[in-house]
Amino acid sequence: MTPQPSVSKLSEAFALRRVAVMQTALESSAQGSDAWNRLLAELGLAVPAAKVREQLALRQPLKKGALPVEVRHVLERLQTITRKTLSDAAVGDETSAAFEKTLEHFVEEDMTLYLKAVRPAASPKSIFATAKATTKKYGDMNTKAVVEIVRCKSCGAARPEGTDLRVCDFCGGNFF
Amino acid sequence: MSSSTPSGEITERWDAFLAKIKERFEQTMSEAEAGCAALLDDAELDPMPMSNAWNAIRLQMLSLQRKIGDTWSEKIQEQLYDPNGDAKFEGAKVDREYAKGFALEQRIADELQATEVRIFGSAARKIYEVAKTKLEGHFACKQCGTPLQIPKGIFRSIYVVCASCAMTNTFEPGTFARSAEYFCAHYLANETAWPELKAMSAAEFRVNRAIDGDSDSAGEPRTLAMLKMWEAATKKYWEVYLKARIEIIPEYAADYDKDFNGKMQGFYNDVARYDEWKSPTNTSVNT
Repeated sequence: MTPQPSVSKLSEAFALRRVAVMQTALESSAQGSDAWNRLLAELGLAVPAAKVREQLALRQPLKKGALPVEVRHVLERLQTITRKTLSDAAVGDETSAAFEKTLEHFVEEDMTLYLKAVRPAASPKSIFATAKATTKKYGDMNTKAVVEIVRCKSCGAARPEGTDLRVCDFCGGNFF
Repeated sequence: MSSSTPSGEITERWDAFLAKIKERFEQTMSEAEAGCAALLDDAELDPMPMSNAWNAIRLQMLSLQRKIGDTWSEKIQEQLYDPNGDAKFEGAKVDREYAKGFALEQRIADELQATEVRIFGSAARKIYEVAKTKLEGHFACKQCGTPLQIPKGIFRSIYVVCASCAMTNTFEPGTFARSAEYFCAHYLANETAWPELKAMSAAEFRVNRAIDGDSDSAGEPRTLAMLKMWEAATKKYWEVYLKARIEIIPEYAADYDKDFNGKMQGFYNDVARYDEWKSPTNTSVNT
């Protein structure tokens, strides 16, 4: 019977693989690279057509690196493969529990770092466009100065001077 | 082989990095001021979109500023000191390289503050001029039609009693005029007090950078005299700021002493953390 690798060896191999994935992704471009395409194929993932990559690249300008959606697919595949290997090793100790926790969170963690590394900084032009499009309007800046009298809705009496009455003391009706 | 001066390669890389930061900063600032003014006009003088945009730009530039210190610590410093922490080169030469980065950090901080004061001061002036025109109309009692005397310098909703029929009218200044109080008063006062604001910021910065008196580190030691200078600069700023605000909202004059003491209390709460302030020779009443 083939001996199963220890959790620490699995964890080491996974860590190296994880770094290699990010490195290869960063060195690639939105159109892919030989190394990146090879990695996709090794993990059993289809290499997207050039036209598909082109259209996605138009939607999300990147300063460098492979398309984020492809990076996510690779990380998720790595997660699946590693979980299966860990499960086959059938170890239930503290070390494997810690490793499982890493496997649970690493995709989002790595994606956050990756996006930070590949997204271009917002230009002032794009910042102004976003501010204009997203600031909520809470009121019209052009409302005029007006004078009003607060009157009772029932009897029409004006609210007496120096009071903040909400209920008319003449007829009991509401001012508001 | 030792050298008294950091190698050309190290200084070239450091200079090139600082030049890139400086270029990026200058380019962004040159677009920021004009862009904010255009955004204000586009939003029909609603300052919110402009405030949001400026905030995003400011955070981006502060992040750029942080890169200077991070790059020095993580990439340059390690090449200037050996693993024992001893300088590989003459201390003064290393300090000079450090000073280049520090000077750029300072310049970014100063220009960000100056640009913000200009952008918001200019916006406040535009809005204030329009706000005043909104209050120049004739307002009459809703009951009897007698013209009402609306007090000057009031930019919020108030009760006005008719001299003829004694009816209580509610005067509502409208959104523009309200913005004179909640937006314009502060930024116009800040613009007026800009020299004092700069002096206060410089005094505070000097205190923050100073080292504790008993420290072995290099640097200017913190002294009571330094803290007193910060106190004096702070008092001057608030005096000028609050008085400038009263020019716009006259009724604030009634609260001048309370407001001034409140602002200075904030300073005294802050300065109390320094041992030098607690010196028995400190004659300030707030120790």
